[in-house]
Amino acid sequence: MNCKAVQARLSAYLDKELPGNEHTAVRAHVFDCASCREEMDSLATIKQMLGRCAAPEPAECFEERLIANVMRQVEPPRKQWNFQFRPAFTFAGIAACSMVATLLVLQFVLKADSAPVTQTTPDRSIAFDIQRDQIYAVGTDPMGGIPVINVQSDPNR
Amino acid sequence: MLFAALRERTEVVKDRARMFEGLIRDTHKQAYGLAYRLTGNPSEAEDLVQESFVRAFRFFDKYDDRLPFTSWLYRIISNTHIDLIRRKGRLKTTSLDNSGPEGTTTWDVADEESSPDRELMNDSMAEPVQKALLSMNEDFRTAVILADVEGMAYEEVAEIMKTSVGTVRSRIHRGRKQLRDHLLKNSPDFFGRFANEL
Repeated sequence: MNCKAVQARLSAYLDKELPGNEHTAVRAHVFDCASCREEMDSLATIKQMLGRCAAPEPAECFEERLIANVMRQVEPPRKQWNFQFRPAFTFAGIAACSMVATLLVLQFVLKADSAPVTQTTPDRSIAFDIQRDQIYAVGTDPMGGIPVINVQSDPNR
Repeated sequence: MLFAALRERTEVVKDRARMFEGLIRDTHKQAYGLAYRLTGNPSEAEDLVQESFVRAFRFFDKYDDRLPFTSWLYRIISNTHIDLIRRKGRLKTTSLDNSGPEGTTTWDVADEESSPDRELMNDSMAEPVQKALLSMNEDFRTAVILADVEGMAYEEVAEIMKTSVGTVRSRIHRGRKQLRDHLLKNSPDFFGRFANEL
């Protein structure tokens, strides 16, 4: 192995990252070659220098700030139920409820007072199969001359 | 039943967040150390760490828990660092190979006289070394830092940098030579003193 090949492998040699045979060849060469040894020593100095540099410490408040910022970014925003008591909303709510209640009551009362349910059938055939109902009138439709049966539910039944 | 499922899911999300918070507490100092060496200043280092943890949380399902969390985190930090640099349009600092014809080179480093972080820089890392690191291109710097500062094997560095072991070997070797040449040129006394101590 010549100087050029050895010098290209010096960092890997220092890091023990060369295959066994190359490692042995570089070691043998460096033992004999002063310039390659000098090159190796200077690279070893850099390696040692970097390894001895103390780790930079973050600011004291960094940990809490980091956690807060990271969690804020990764958690979906929570829904804020911001209910506030407001007299105007309360009044509007009560008014709406009263209107609905009044409508319901009115509908019930009107239904009770309404005329008996009458049924008109346009069918020309007379529906004799009406049961439990009393036929009280038979007439003819003035528009089409169709026989009309007026039936009324028997209130006594 | 629906409520039970919802409650269960909420509990899972909460557990995940709690577990991740524990990981942040355990590893944020190491993450900051690497980020500081890559960026060269505390403010950018903090931003890098924060962005990296956010990415780590989002891709946490891709983490293989048979491997150390820090290795995975380091990979995210180095990738995020490259992304942030690209976003800022500052892809490379001056390479030592690009020195002027008379050996004049403008170093793209912070003015430490006006920097409020001077104390931190002196305490945490020898100033000439940090300057030399910042003068390198990103790939060389990351490879050298992971190998020499973090003490990783080439295979691990290759895994983090998503490249081959051969490329890592070349980057580390060229990176160390660049650092040495920079120090010999700009801080020969510092280099000589350190070499004599060994």
